[in-house]
Amino acid sequence: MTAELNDYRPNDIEEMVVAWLTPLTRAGVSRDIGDPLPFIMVRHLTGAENIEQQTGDPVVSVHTLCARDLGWGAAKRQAAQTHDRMTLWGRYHDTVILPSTHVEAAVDYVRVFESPIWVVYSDLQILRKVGRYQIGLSYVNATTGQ
Amino acid sequence: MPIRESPHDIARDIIQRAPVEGREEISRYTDDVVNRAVDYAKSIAPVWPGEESQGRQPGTFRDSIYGEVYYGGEADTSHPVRANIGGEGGKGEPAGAIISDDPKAPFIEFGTAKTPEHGTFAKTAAHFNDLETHE
Repeated sequence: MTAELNDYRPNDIEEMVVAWLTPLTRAGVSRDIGDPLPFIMVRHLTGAENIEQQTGDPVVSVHTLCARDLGWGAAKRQAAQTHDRMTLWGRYHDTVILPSTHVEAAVDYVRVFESPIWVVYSDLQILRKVGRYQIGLSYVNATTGQ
Repeated sequence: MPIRESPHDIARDIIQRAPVEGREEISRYTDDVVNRAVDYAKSIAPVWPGEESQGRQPGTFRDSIYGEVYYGGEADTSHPVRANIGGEGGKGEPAGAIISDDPKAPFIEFGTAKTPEHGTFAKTAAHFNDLETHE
């Protein structure tokens, strides 16, 4: 017996943000200890969906991790680039190609939920700045991605 | 007629023109929202499931969360973790925030190399912003 499922859902927001930020530097949803720096870590944190309107409003955290031995100035510049890339997305709503499906994915909006701030990291050799963004998505066909 | 720069400017103007009783009512409303936000944050805050560890009692982070109503955009941003509830207050406007002064709070809120990001404060802010949008 096959249960019936909704054919429509928002795209994977973590995959979208990683795809959008990858031209800057290495990015992913997790980082193994010892992986090269700088690295941008993306985490889907919270957010609701509206089934009637077929929209989602996820909030994602974007962590820019940099080597402390390169200095605060380098970390600051790297984190500023991350933020500028996110706000650029909010201005122009460019599409991204999802690596998993090779399909174009679009955002409805990108808002700065929390401006980037320095946050102490457990590994003291790493400097971290964290920004949070709310991103509007529309449901797409789960099979075709469109 | 001058063009307003933002909804914040309009809100500030309304508050400054409101009679004293009106301002008190806005303050009471903000106070009520902040109290509810503190309760919500405490209800989702992670609590260490074991016994006392490294001199910390289970629930230390949860119990450290408190609320603050501030005025005039003069928020104290020196706390390890804080989140505005219902947006950042403009000049002369009451606004609310939830705060923790627990030194471990940044690690719980934003995660570490080995522990996940819980986002207690961000989840609370998102929840109350969402309520405000749909009320």
